[in-house]
Amino acid sequence: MNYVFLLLILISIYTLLALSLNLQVGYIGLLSLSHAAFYGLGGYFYSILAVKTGLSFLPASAVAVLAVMLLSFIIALPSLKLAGDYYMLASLGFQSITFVVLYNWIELTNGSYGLRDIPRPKVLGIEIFSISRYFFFCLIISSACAVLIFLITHSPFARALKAIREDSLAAEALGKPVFRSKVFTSVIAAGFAAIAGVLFAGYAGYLDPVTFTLNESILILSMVIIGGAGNFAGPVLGAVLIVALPELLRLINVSDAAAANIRQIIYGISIIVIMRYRPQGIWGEFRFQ
Amino acid sequence: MEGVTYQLALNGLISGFVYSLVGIGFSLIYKTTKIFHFAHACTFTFTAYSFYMLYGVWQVPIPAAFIISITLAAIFGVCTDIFIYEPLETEKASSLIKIISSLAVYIITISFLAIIFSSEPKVVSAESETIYATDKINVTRIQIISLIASLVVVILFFIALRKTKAGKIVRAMCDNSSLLAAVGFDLKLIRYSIFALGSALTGIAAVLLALDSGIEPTMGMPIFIIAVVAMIVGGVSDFKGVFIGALLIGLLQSLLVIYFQANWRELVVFAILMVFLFFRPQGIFGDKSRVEEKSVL
Repeated sequence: MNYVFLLLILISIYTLLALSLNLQVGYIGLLSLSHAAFYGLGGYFYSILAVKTGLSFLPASAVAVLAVMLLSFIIALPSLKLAGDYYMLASLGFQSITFVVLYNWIELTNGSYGLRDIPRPKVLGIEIFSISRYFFFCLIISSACAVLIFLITHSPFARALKAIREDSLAAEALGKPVFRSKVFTSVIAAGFAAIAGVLFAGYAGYLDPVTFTLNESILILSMVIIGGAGNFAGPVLGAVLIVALPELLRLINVSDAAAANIRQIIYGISIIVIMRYRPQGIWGEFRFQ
Repeated sequence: MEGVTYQLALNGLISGFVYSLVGIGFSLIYKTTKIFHFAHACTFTFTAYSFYMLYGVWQVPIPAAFIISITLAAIFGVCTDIFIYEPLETEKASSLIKIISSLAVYIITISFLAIIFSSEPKVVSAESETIYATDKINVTRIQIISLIASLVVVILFFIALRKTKAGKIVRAMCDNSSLLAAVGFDLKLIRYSIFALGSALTGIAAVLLALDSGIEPTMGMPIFIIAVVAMIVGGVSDFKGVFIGALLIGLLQSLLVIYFQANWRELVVFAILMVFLFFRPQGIFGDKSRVEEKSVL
Protein backbone atom coordinates (compact mmCIF):
# COMPACT_ATOMS: atom_id res chain seq x y z
CA MET A 1 0.00 0.00 0.00
CA ASN A 2 2.86 2.35 0.82
CA TYR A 3 4.10 1.88 -2.72
CA VAL A 4 0.84 3.21 -4.13
CA PHE A 5 1.04 6.22 -1.85
CA LEU A 6 4.64 6.90 -2.88
CA LEU A 7 3.59 6.81 -6.50
CA LEU A 8 0.64 9.11 -5.85
CA ILE A 9 2.89 11.58 -4.02
CA LEU A 10 5.23 11.68 -7.01
CA ILE A 11 2.29 12.11 -9.36
CA SER A 12 0.95 15.06 -7.41
CA ILE A 13 4.40 16.72 -7.28
CA TYR A 14 5.02 16.23 -11.00
CA THR A 15 1.51 17.35 -11.92
CA LEU A 16 2.24 20.62 -10.16
CA LEU A 17 5.57 20.92 -11.99
CA ALA A 18 4.07 20.17 -15.40
CA LEU A 19 1.14 22.53 -14.87
CA SER A 20 3.42 25.38 -13.88
CA LEU A 21 5.90 24.82 -16.71
CA ASN A 22 2.96 24.76 -19.09
CA LEU A 23 2.22 28.38 -18.15
CA GLN A 24 5.53 29.28 -19.77
CA VAL A 25 5.78 26.74 -22.56
CA GLY A 26 2.14 26.37 -23.50
CA TYR A 27 0.74 29.82 -22.85
CA ILE A 28 3.55 32.16 -23.86
CA GLY A 29 5.38 29.71 -26.10
CA LEU A 30 8.76 30.10 -24.40
CA LEU A 31 10.91 27.00 -24.16
CA SER A 32 12.37 27.00 -20.65
CA LEU A 33 15.02 24.51 -19.61
CA SER A 34 15.38 25.78 -16.05
CA HIS A 35 12.25 24.46 -14.37
CA ALA A 36 14.20 21.82 -12.44
CA ALA A 37 16.45 24.58 -11.13
CA PHE A 38 13.53 26.44 -9.55
CA TYR A 39 12.13 23.14 -8.31
CA GLY A 40 15.46 22.24 -6.72
CA LEU A 41 16.07 25.70 -5.30
CA GLY A 42 12.65 25.63 -3.63
CA GLY A 43 13.54 22.32 -2.02
CA TYR A 44 17.01 23.45 -1.00
CA PHE A 45 15.96 26.82 0.43
CA TYR A 46 13.25 25.12 2.49
CA SER A 47 15.53 22.33 3.70
CA ILE A 48 18.40 24.63 4.63
CA LEU A 49 15.99 26.81 6.61
CA ALA A 50 14.36 23.80 8.24
CA VAL A 51 17.58 21.93 9.04
CA LYS A 52 19.99 24.74 9.91
CA THR A 53 17.70 27.29 11.54
CA GLY A 54 14.96 24.99 12.79
CA LEU A 55 12.18 27.13 11.34
CA SER A 56 8.85 25.31 11.27
CA PHE A 57 7.19 24.23 8.03
CA LEU A 58 4.96 27.16 7.16
CA PRO A 59 7.42 30.06 7.61
CA ALA A 60 10.30 28.05 6.10
CA SER A 61 8.35 27.10 3.00
CA ALA A 62 6.91 30.59 2.60
CA VAL A 63 10.39 32.12 2.72
CA ALA A 64 11.69 29.48 0.29
CA VAL A 65 8.94 30.07 -2.26
CA LEU A 66 9.25 33.84 -2.03
CA ALA A 67 13.03 33.63 -2.40
CA VAL A 68 12.70 31.51 -5.53
CA MET A 69 10.14 33.92 -6.97
CA LEU A 70 12.45 36.84 -6.30
CA LEU A 71 15.33 35.00 -7.93
CA SER A 72 13.25 34.13 -10.97
CA PHE A 73 12.16 37.77 -11.22
CA ILE A 74 15.80 38.88 -11.29
CA ILE A 75 16.61 36.28 -13.95
CA ALA A 76 13.44 36.92 -15.96
CA LEU A 77 14.05 40.64 -16.45
CA PRO A 78 17.11 40.36 -18.68
CA SER A 79 16.41 36.95 -20.20
CA LEU A 80 12.88 37.73 -21.37
CA LYS A 81 14.33 40.55 -23.45
CA LEU A 82 15.90 37.80 -25.53
CA ALA A 83 13.85 36.02 -28.13
CA GLY A 84 13.50 32.40 -29.13
CA ASP A 85 16.71 30.38 -29.13
CA TYR A 86 18.43 32.86 -26.88
CA TYR A 87 15.83 32.73 -24.15
CA MET A 88 16.17 28.96 -24.13
CA LEU A 89 19.93 29.33 -23.93
CA ALA A 90 19.70 31.73 -20.99
CA SER A 91 17.44 29.28 -19.16
CA LEU A 92 19.90 26.48 -19.90
CA GLY A 93 22.64 28.70 -18.47
CA PHE A 94 20.64 29.33 -15.30
CA GLN A 95 19.87 25.63 -14.95
CA SER A 96 23.54 24.74 -15.17
CA ILE A 97 24.71 27.53 -12.86
CA THR A 98 22.21 26.36 -10.25
CA PHE A 99 23.50 22.82 -10.48
CA VAL A 100 27.15 23.88 -10.18
CA VAL A 101 26.35 26.02 -7.15
CA LEU A 102 24.29 23.32 -5.42
CA TYR A 103 27.01 20.79 -6.15
CA ASN A 104 30.00 22.85 -5.06
CA TRP A 105 28.80 25.09 -2.24
CA ILE A 106 29.50 22.34 0.25
CA GLU A 107 29.24 24.43 3.43
CA LEU A 108 25.63 25.21 2.65
CA THR A 109 24.27 22.35 0.56
CA ASN A 110 26.59 19.51 1.58
CA GLY A 111 27.43 19.10 -2.12
CA SER A 112 27.21 15.67 -3.65
CA TYR A 113 26.68 14.04 -0.23
CA GLY A 114 23.30 15.69 -0.14
CA LEU A 115 21.29 17.28 2.63
CA ARG A 116 20.06 14.67 5.07
CA ASP A 117 17.49 14.49 7.85
CA ILE A 118 15.05 17.00 6.46
CA PRO A 119 12.18 16.85 8.94
CA ARG A 120 8.69 15.84 7.92
CA PRO A 121 6.48 18.93 8.08
CA LYS A 122 4.38 19.78 11.10
CA VAL A 123 1.39 21.92 10.19
CA LEU A 124 -1.05 23.44 12.66
CA GLY A 125 0.19 21.12 15.36
CA ILE A 126 -0.30 17.97 13.30
CA GLU A 127 2.85 16.03 12.57
CA ILE A 128 2.62 14.48 9.12
CA PHE A 129 4.75 11.44 9.59
CA SER A 130 3.23 8.45 7.83
CA ILE A 131 3.36 8.11 4.06
CA SER A 132 -0.42 8.00 3.75
CA ARG A 133 -0.79 11.24 5.70
CA TYR A 134 1.94 12.84 3.65
CA PHE A 135 0.09 11.86 0.52
CA PHE A 136 -3.08 13.62 1.68
CA PHE A 137 -1.00 16.62 2.67
CA CYS A 138 0.59 16.67 -0.83
CA LEU A 139 -2.78 16.17 -2.44
CA ILE A 140 -4.29 19.13 -0.58
CA ILE A 141 -1.42 21.49 -1.41
CA SER A 142 -1.03 20.50 -5.03
CA SER A 143 -4.79 20.55 -5.59
CA ALA A 144 -4.93 24.04 -4.14
CA CYS A 145 -2.13 25.08 -6.49
CA ALA A 146 -3.84 23.33 -9.38
CA VAL A 147 -7.06 25.21 -8.67
CA LEU A 148 -5.10 28.47 -8.71
CA ILE A 149 -3.49 27.52 -12.02
CA PHE A 150 -6.89 26.49 -13.37
CA LEU A 151 -8.26 29.92 -12.45
CA ILE A 152 -5.28 31.61 -14.12
CA THR A 153 -5.62 29.54 -17.29
CA HIS A 154 -9.33 30.31 -17.52
CA SER A 155 -8.99 34.02 -16.90
CA PRO A 156 -8.79 36.86 -19.42
CA PHE A 157 -5.11 37.05 -18.52
CA ALA A 158 -4.53 33.60 -20.10
CA ARG A 159 -6.27 34.78 -23.27
CA ALA A 160 -3.89 37.72 -23.39
CA LEU A 161 -0.98 35.30 -22.96
CA LYS A 162 -2.20 33.19 -25.86
CA ALA A 163 -2.52 36.32 -27.96
CA ILE A 164 1.10 37.18 -27.11
CA ARG A 165 2.13 33.64 -28.05
CA GLU A 166 0.40 33.76 -31.41
CA ASP A 167 1.42 37.30 -32.38
CA SER A 168 3.16 39.42 -29.83
CA LEU A 169 3.26 42.51 -32.05
CA ALA A 170 -0.51 42.42 -32.54
CA ALA A 171 -1.04 41.88 -28.82
CA GLU A 172 1.18 44.84 -28.07
CA ALA A 173 -0.70 46.97 -30.58
CA LEU A 174 -3.91 46.13 -28.73
CA GLY A 175 -2.36 47.52 -25.57
CA LYS A 176 -1.49 44.24 -23.85
CA PRO A 177 1.55 44.59 -21.61
CA VAL A 178 3.62 41.92 -23.36
CA PHE A 179 6.84 42.10 -21.39
CA ARG A 180 5.15 42.50 -18.02
CA SER A 181 2.86 39.52 -18.69
CA LYS A 182 5.83 37.35 -19.60
CA VAL A 183 7.72 38.31 -16.44
CA PHE A 184 4.63 37.77 -14.29
CA THR A 185 4.00 34.33 -15.79
CA SER A 186 7.61 33.26 -15.36
CA VAL A 187 7.67 34.32 -11.72
CA ILE A 188 4.38 32.52 -11.00
CA ALA A 189 5.64 29.37 -12.73
CA ALA A 190 8.85 29.45 -10.69
CA GLY A 191 6.84 29.92 -7.49
CA PHE A 192 4.75 26.82 -8.14
CA ALA A 193 7.90 24.87 -9.02
CA ALA A 194 9.35 25.94 -5.66
CA ILE A 195 6.24 24.65 -3.87
CA ALA A 196 6.74 21.33 -5.62
CA GLY A 197 10.36 21.41 -4.44
CA VAL A 198 9.26 21.92 -0.83
CA LEU A 199 6.83 19.00 -1.13
CA PHE A 200 9.57 16.81 -2.58
CA ALA A 201 12.05 17.73 0.16
CA GLY A 202 9.52 16.91 2.86
CA TYR A 203 8.69 13.62 1.21
CA ALA A 204 12.22 12.40 0.45
CA GLY A 205 13.87 13.73 3.60
CA TYR A 206 17.03 13.94 1.56
CA LEU A 207 18.12 16.22 -1.28
CA ASP A 208 21.01 15.80 -3.64
CA PRO A 209 21.91 18.08 -6.54
CA VAL A 210 21.86 15.26 -9.11
CA THR A 211 18.06 15.19 -8.78
CA PHE A 212 17.84 18.68 -10.28
CA THR A 213 19.86 18.53 -13.47
CA LEU A 214 19.08 19.42 -17.06
CA ASN A 215 17.68 15.91 -17.50
CA GLU A 216 15.04 16.65 -14.87
CA SER A 217 14.11 19.86 -16.71
CA ILE A 218 13.75 17.87 -19.91
CA LEU A 219 11.65 15.28 -18.06
CA ILE A 220 9.20 17.94 -16.89
CA LEU A 221 9.20 19.48 -20.35
CA SER A 222 8.40 16.11 -21.89
CA MET A 223 5.37 15.76 -19.58
CA VAL A 224 4.04 19.03 -20.94
CA ILE A 225 4.82 18.07 -24.52
CA ILE A 226 3.53 14.50 -24.44
CA GLY A 227 0.38 15.35 -22.48
CA GLY A 228 -0.15 18.46 -24.53
CA ALA A 229 0.69 22.12 -24.06
CA GLY A 230 -1.55 25.14 -23.90
CA ASN A 231 -4.47 23.93 -21.83
CA PHE A 232 -5.10 22.58 -18.35
CA ALA A 233 -5.74 18.89 -19.03
CA GLY A 234 -2.68 18.14 -21.17
CA PRO A 235 0.10 18.55 -18.59
CA VAL A 236 -1.92 16.66 -15.94
CA LEU A 237 -2.29 13.73 -18.31
CA GLY A 238 1.40 13.96 -19.24
CA ALA A 239 2.55 13.93 -15.62
CA VAL A 240 0.36 10.94 -14.73
CA LEU A 241 1.47 9.00 -17.80
CA ILE A 242 5.18 9.68 -17.45
CA VAL A 243 5.32 8.94 -13.73
CA ALA A 244 3.03 5.91 -13.75
CA LEU A 245 3.78 4.06 -16.98
CA PRO A 246 7.49 3.39 -16.34
CA GLU A 247 6.45 1.62 -13.15
CA LEU A 248 5.43 -1.19 -15.48
CA LEU A 249 9.17 -1.68 -16.01
CA ARG A 250 9.26 -3.10 -12.50
CA LEU A 251 7.25 -6.06 -13.74
CA ILE A 252 10.05 -7.11 -16.10
CA ASN A 253 12.86 -7.10 -13.55
CA VAL A 254 15.43 -4.66 -14.83
CA SER A 255 18.01 -3.09 -12.54
CA ASP A 256 17.26 0.37 -11.19
CA ALA A 257 20.05 2.07 -13.16
CA ALA A 258 18.93 0.49 -16.41
CA ALA A 259 15.29 1.29 -15.63
CA ALA A 260 16.11 5.00 -15.30
CA ASN A 261 17.80 4.97 -18.69
CA ILE A 262 15.09 2.90 -20.37
CA ARG A 263 12.55 5.40 -19.06
CA GLN A 264 14.52 8.25 -20.61
CA ILE A 265 14.67 6.40 -23.92
CA ILE A 266 10.92 5.80 -23.83
CA TYR A 267 10.05 9.41 -23.27
CA GLY A 268 12.67 10.57 -25.76
CA ILE A 269 11.11 8.44 -28.45
CA SER A 270 7.62 9.58 -27.44
CA ILE A 271 8.69 13.21 -27.82
CA ILE A 272 10.07 12.60 -31.30
CA VAL A 273 6.94 10.75 -32.41
CA ILE A 274 4.64 13.37 -30.91
CA MET A 275 6.56 16.30 -32.38
CA ARG A 276 6.39 14.64 -35.78
CA TYR A 277 2.77 13.50 -35.91
CA ARG A 278 0.87 15.40 -33.26
CA PRO A 279 2.73 18.50 -32.06
CA GLN A 280 -0.14 19.54 -29.78
CA GLY A 281 0.40 16.41 -27.67
CA ILE A 282 -2.22 13.90 -26.63
CA TRP A 283 -4.67 16.36 -25.15
CA GLY A 284 -3.22 19.81 -25.75
CA GLU A 285 -3.94 22.83 -27.89
CA PHE A 286 -0.69 24.61 -28.69
CA ARG A 287 1.05 23.22 -31.80
CA PHE A 288 4.41 25.02 -31.27
CA GLN A 289 4.00 26.91 -34.52
CA MET B 1 54.32 35.47 -14.52
CA GLU B 2 55.23 32.33 -12.71
CA GLY B 3 55.73 28.90 -14.21
CA VAL B 4 52.30 27.75 -13.11
CA THR B 5 50.69 30.54 -15.04
CA TYR B 6 52.53 29.60 -18.23
CA GLN B 7 51.52 26.00 -17.77
CA LEU B 8 47.86 26.92 -17.18
CA ALA B 9 47.84 29.31 -20.14
CA LEU B 10 49.24 26.61 -22.38
CA ASN B 11 46.71 24.01 -21.17
CA GLY B 12 43.91 26.52 -21.63
CA LEU B 13 45.02 27.41 -25.12
CA ILE B 14 45.13 23.76 -26.15
CA SER B 15 41.66 23.12 -24.73
CA GLY B 16 40.53 26.26 -26.52
CA PHE B 17 41.74 24.89 -29.84
CA VAL B 18 39.87 21.64 -29.25
CA TYR B 19 36.70 23.52 -28.19
CA SER B 20 36.91 25.61 -31.34
CA LEU B 21 36.42 22.46 -33.45
CA VAL B 22 33.14 21.72 -31.66
CA GLY B 23 32.16 25.37 -31.90
CA ILE B 24 32.87 25.63 -35.61
CA GLY B 25 31.03 22.34 -36.20
CA PHE B 26 27.98 23.59 -34.32
CA SER B 27 27.86 27.03 -35.86
CA LEU B 28 28.37 25.58 -39.33
CA ILE B 29 25.14 23.64 -38.86
CA TYR B 30 23.33 26.40 -36.97
CA LYS B 31 24.11 29.22 -39.37
CA THR B 32 23.30 27.34 -42.54
CA THR B 33 20.27 25.27 -41.52
CA LYS B 34 19.07 27.55 -38.67
CA ILE B 35 18.56 24.43 -36.54
CA PHE B 36 19.68 24.64 -32.93
CA HIS B 37 21.28 21.23 -33.14
CA PHE B 38 21.24 20.02 -29.51
CA ALA B 39 22.07 16.53 -30.69
CA HIS B 40 25.52 17.88 -31.50
CA ALA B 41 26.29 17.20 -27.84
CA CYS B 42 25.56 13.49 -28.27
CA THR B 43 27.41 13.33 -31.59
CA PHE B 44 30.39 14.26 -29.46
CA THR B 45 29.69 11.60 -26.81
CA PHE B 46 28.83 8.97 -29.41
CA THR B 47 32.14 9.52 -31.22
CA ALA B 48 34.13 9.39 -28.00
CA TYR B 49 32.53 6.04 -27.13
CA SER B 50 33.06 4.68 -30.65
CA PHE B 51 36.71 5.56 -30.36
CA TYR B 52 36.86 3.94 -26.92
CA MET B 53 35.41 0.71 -28.34
CA LEU B 54 37.71 0.71 -31.35
CA TYR B 55 40.96 1.75 -29.76
CA GLY B 56 40.50 0.94 -26.09
CA VAL B 57 38.64 -2.37 -26.32
CA TRP B 58 39.24 -3.85 -29.77
CA GLN B 59 42.82 -2.55 -30.02
CA VAL B 60 42.42 -1.12 -33.51
CA PRO B 61 45.54 0.96 -34.31
CA ILE B 62 45.08 4.66 -33.57
CA PRO B 63 44.97 6.08 -37.13
CA ALA B 64 42.33 3.57 -38.26
CA ALA B 65 40.32 3.98 -35.05
CA PHE B 66 40.50 7.75 -35.51
CA ILE B 67 39.28 7.66 -39.11
CA ILE B 68 36.47 5.18 -38.41
CA SER B 69 35.24 7.22 -35.42
CA ILE B 70 35.19 10.45 -37.42
CA THR B 71 33.29 8.69 -40.19
CA LEU B 72 30.79 7.37 -37.65
CA ALA B 73 30.38 10.91 -36.31
CA ALA B 74 29.59 12.17 -39.80
CA ILE B 75 27.10 9.35 -40.38
CA PHE B 76 25.47 10.06 -37.03
CA GLY B 77 25.06 13.72 -37.93
CA VAL B 78 23.61 13.01 -41.36
CA CYS B 79 21.21 10.43 -39.85
CA THR B 80 19.79 12.99 -37.40
CA ASP B 81 19.15 15.24 -40.35
CA ILE B 82 17.54 12.52 -42.47
CA PHE B 83 15.40 10.93 -39.77
CA ILE B 84 14.62 13.87 -37.50
CA TYR B 85 14.95 17.26 -39.15
CA GLU B 86 14.06 16.51 -42.76
CA PRO B 87 10.57 15.13 -42.10
CA LEU B 88 9.92 18.13 -39.83
CA GLU B 89 11.24 20.48 -42.47
CA THR B 90 8.87 19.13 -45.12
CA GLU B 91 5.99 19.77 -42.73
CA LYS B 92 7.26 23.32 -42.18
CA ALA B 93 7.55 22.68 -38.46
CA SER B 94 8.64 25.62 -36.30
CA SER B 95 12.16 25.74 -34.97
CA LEU B 96 10.75 25.14 -31.47
CA ILE B 97 9.68 21.68 -32.61
CA LYS B 98 13.11 20.98 -34.07
CA ILE B 99 14.83 22.03 -30.85
CA ILE B 100 12.57 19.79 -28.77
CA SER B 101 13.13 16.83 -31.10
CA SER B 102 16.86 17.47 -31.01
CA LEU B 103 16.79 17.45 -27.20
CA ALA B 104 14.98 14.12 -27.39
CA VAL B 105 17.71 12.69 -29.63
CA TYR B 106 20.27 13.82 -27.08
CA ILE B 107 18.43 12.13 -24.21
CA ILE B 108 17.92 8.89 -26.14
CA THR B 109 21.55 8.64 -27.23
CA ILE B 110 23.15 9.27 -23.86
CA SER B 111 20.70 6.87 -22.20
CA PHE B 112 21.64 4.16 -24.69
CA LEU B 113 25.32 4.79 -24.05
CA ALA B 114 24.72 4.68 -20.30
CA ILE B 115 22.91 1.34 -20.58
CA ILE B 116 25.62 -0.23 -22.74
CA PHE B 117 28.71 1.19 -21.04
CA SER B 118 27.28 2.15 -17.59
CA SER B 119 27.57 5.75 -16.46
CA GLU B 120 30.98 5.24 -14.83
CA PRO B 121 33.82 7.29 -16.36
CA LYS B 122 36.23 5.29 -18.51
CA VAL B 123 39.88 5.81 -19.33
CA VAL B 124 40.78 5.51 -22.99
CA SER B 125 44.53 5.88 -22.88
CA ALA B 126 46.63 5.53 -19.75
CA GLU B 127 49.60 7.25 -21.31
CA SER B 128 50.39 10.75 -20.12
CA GLU B 129 54.12 10.85 -20.66
CA THR B 130 55.73 14.22 -20.78
CA ILE B 131 57.74 14.62 -23.91
CA TYR B 132 58.78 18.21 -23.54
CA ALA B 133 59.68 19.66 -20.18
CA THR B 134 61.52 22.68 -18.92
CA ASP B 135 61.57 24.01 -15.40
CA LYS B 136 58.51 26.10 -16.30
CA ILE B 137 56.23 23.94 -18.41
CA ASN B 138 55.76 20.41 -19.54
CA VAL B 139 53.69 19.11 -22.38
CA THR B 140 52.28 15.65 -22.95
CA ARG B 141 52.24 13.91 -26.28
CA ILE B 142 48.44 14.05 -26.49
CA GLN B 143 48.52 17.80 -25.93
CA ILE B 144 50.91 18.25 -28.84
CA ILE B 145 48.80 16.04 -31.08
CA SER B 146 45.69 17.99 -30.03
CA LEU B 147 47.33 21.30 -30.73
CA ILE B 148 48.64 20.33 -34.16
CA ALA B 149 45.51 18.45 -35.26
CA SER B 150 43.09 21.23 -34.28
CA LEU B 151 45.31 23.94 -35.70
CA VAL B 152 45.59 22.15 -39.04
CA VAL B 153 41.87 21.45 -39.24
CA VAL B 154 40.91 25.01 -38.31
CA ILE B 155 43.31 26.50 -40.84
CA LEU B 156 42.08 24.15 -43.57
CA PHE B 157 38.50 25.06 -42.70
CA PHE B 158 39.11 28.78 -43.01
CA ILE B 159 41.04 28.39 -46.28
CA ALA B 160 38.23 26.25 -47.69
CA LEU B 161 35.63 28.75 -46.53
CA ARG B 162 37.40 31.64 -48.27
CA LYS B 163 38.90 30.04 -51.36
CA THR B 164 36.82 27.11 -52.56
CA LYS B 165 33.46 26.86 -54.23
CA ALA B 166 32.14 24.74 -51.33
CA GLY B 167 33.07 27.54 -48.98
CA LYS B 168 31.19 30.01 -51.14
CA ILE B 169 28.12 27.78 -51.04
CA VAL B 170 28.32 27.59 -47.24
CA ARG B 171 28.56 31.36 -46.97
CA ALA B 172 25.65 31.76 -49.37
CA MET B 173 23.55 29.33 -47.36
CA CYS B 174 24.25 31.27 -44.15
CA ASP B 175 22.69 34.31 -45.83
CA ASN B 176 19.76 32.86 -47.68
CA SER B 177 19.21 29.16 -48.27
CA SER B 178 16.04 29.40 -50.33
CA LEU B 179 17.79 31.70 -52.81
CA LEU B 180 20.55 29.10 -53.07
CA ALA B 181 17.95 26.49 -53.97
CA ALA B 182 16.36 28.88 -56.44
CA VAL B 183 19.57 29.27 -58.43
CA GLY B 184 19.75 25.51 -58.89
CA PHE B 185 21.80 24.03 -56.09
CA ASP B 186 20.71 20.72 -54.59
CA LEU B 187 19.90 21.89 -51.08
CA LYS B 188 19.50 18.37 -49.74
CA LEU B 189 22.98 17.33 -50.78
CA ILE B 190 24.45 20.52 -49.34
CA ARG B 191 22.64 19.92 -46.06
CA TYR B 192 23.97 16.38 -45.79
CA SER B 193 27.50 17.59 -46.47
CA ILE B 194 27.16 20.30 -43.86
CA PHE B 195 25.85 17.89 -41.23
CA ALA B 196 28.63 15.43 -42.12
CA LEU B 197 31.36 18.08 -41.94
CA GLY B 198 30.04 19.75 -38.78
CA SER B 199 29.71 16.40 -37.01
CA ALA B 200 33.13 15.23 -38.20
CA LEU B 201 34.75 18.38 -36.79
CA THR B 202 33.13 17.62 -33.45
CA GLY B 203 34.23 14.01 -33.81
CA ILE B 204 37.87 15.07 -34.07
CA ALA B 205 37.54 17.07 -30.87
CA ALA B 206 35.79 14.14 -29.18
CA VAL B 207 38.62 11.74 -29.97
CA LEU B 208 41.27 14.22 -28.82
CA LEU B 209 39.47 14.89 -25.55
CA ALA B 210 38.76 11.20 -24.99
CA LEU B 211 42.48 10.48 -25.27
CA ASP B 212 43.32 13.34 -22.95
CA SER B 213 40.78 13.03 -20.16
CA GLY B 214 38.63 9.89 -20.51
CA ILE B 215 34.95 9.56 -21.26
CA GLU B 216 31.53 9.40 -19.61
CA PRO B 217 27.98 9.61 -21.04
CA THR B 218 27.34 13.15 -19.81
CA MET B 219 30.61 14.56 -21.19
CA GLY B 220 28.99 16.00 -24.32
CA MET B 221 26.73 18.63 -22.80
CA PRO B 222 29.38 20.81 -21.08
CA ILE B 223 31.50 20.80 -24.24
CA PHE B 224 28.44 21.58 -26.35
CA ILE B 225 27.58 24.51 -24.11
CA ILE B 226 31.16 25.78 -24.41
CA ALA B 227 30.76 25.58 -28.18
CA VAL B 228 27.53 27.57 -28.11
CA VAL B 229 29.01 30.12 -25.74
CA ALA B 230 32.04 30.45 -28.01
CA MET B 231 29.70 31.24 -30.87
CA ILE B 232 27.88 33.87 -28.83
CA VAL B 233 31.06 35.42 -27.46
CA GLY B 234 32.57 35.71 -30.92
CA GLY B 235 29.36 36.89 -32.53
CA VAL B 236 27.08 34.78 -34.67
CA SER B 237 27.90 36.71 -37.83
CA ASP B 238 31.39 35.30 -38.39
CA PHE B 239 33.15 31.93 -38.09
CA LYS B 240 36.35 33.64 -36.94
CA GLY B 241 34.46 34.82 -33.88
CA VAL B 242 33.71 31.24 -32.86
CA PHE B 243 37.38 30.35 -33.03
CA ILE B 244 38.50 33.32 -30.96
CA GLY B 245 35.62 32.83 -28.53
CA ALA B 246 36.66 29.22 -27.95
CA LEU B 247 40.28 30.21 -27.31
CA LEU B 248 39.16 32.89 -24.84
CA ILE B 249 36.96 30.44 -22.94
CA GLY B 250 39.68 27.82 -22.82
CA LEU B 251 42.20 30.34 -21.49
CA LEU B 252 39.84 31.87 -18.93
CA GLN B 253 38.67 28.50 -17.67
CA SER B 254 42.23 27.40 -17.16
CA LEU B 255 43.69 30.62 -15.74
CA LEU B 256 40.87 31.21 -13.27
CA VAL B 257 41.95 28.03 -11.48
CA ILE B 258 44.62 30.22 -9.91
CA TYR B 259 41.92 32.19 -8.14
CA PHE B 260 39.14 29.66 -7.68
CA GLN B 261 38.96 25.98 -6.85
CA ALA B 262 38.96 23.80 -9.94
CA ASN B 263 35.43 22.46 -9.42
CA TRP B 264 34.01 25.96 -9.90
CA ARG B 265 35.49 26.31 -13.37
CA GLU B 266 32.34 25.13 -15.10
CA LEU B 267 30.66 28.17 -13.64
CA VAL B 268 32.98 30.40 -15.68
CA VAL B 269 31.43 29.27 -18.96
CA PHE B 270 27.88 29.92 -17.82
CA ALA B 271 28.83 33.23 -16.28
CA ILE B 272 30.34 34.27 -19.62
CA LEU B 273 27.18 33.06 -21.39
CA MET B 274 24.89 35.07 -19.13
CA VAL B 275 27.05 38.22 -19.27
CA PHE B 276 27.14 38.14 -23.06
CA LEU B 277 23.46 37.26 -23.51
CA PHE B 278 22.39 40.05 -21.19
CA PHE B 279 24.87 42.79 -22.03
CA ARG B 280 26.34 42.13 -25.45
CA PRO B 281 24.24 39.59 -27.34
CA GLN B 282 25.87 40.54 -30.64
CA GLY B 283 29.23 39.20 -29.38
CA ILE B 284 32.65 40.82 -29.38
CA PHE B 285 32.93 41.07 -33.14
CA GLY B 286 29.23 41.27 -33.95
CA ASP B 287 27.77 44.18 -35.82
CA LYS B 288 25.17 46.48 -34.37
CA SER B 289 22.09 44.34 -35.01
CA ARG B 290 21.47 42.15 -32.00
CA VAL B 291 21.54 38.37 -32.36
CA GLU B 292 17.97 37.76 -31.37
CA GLU B 293 16.79 39.75 -34.36
CA LYS B 294 18.63 37.29 -36.55
CA SER B 295 17.25 34.39 -34.60
CA VAL B 296 14.94 32.23 -36.67
CA LEU B 297 12.19 32.10 -34.08
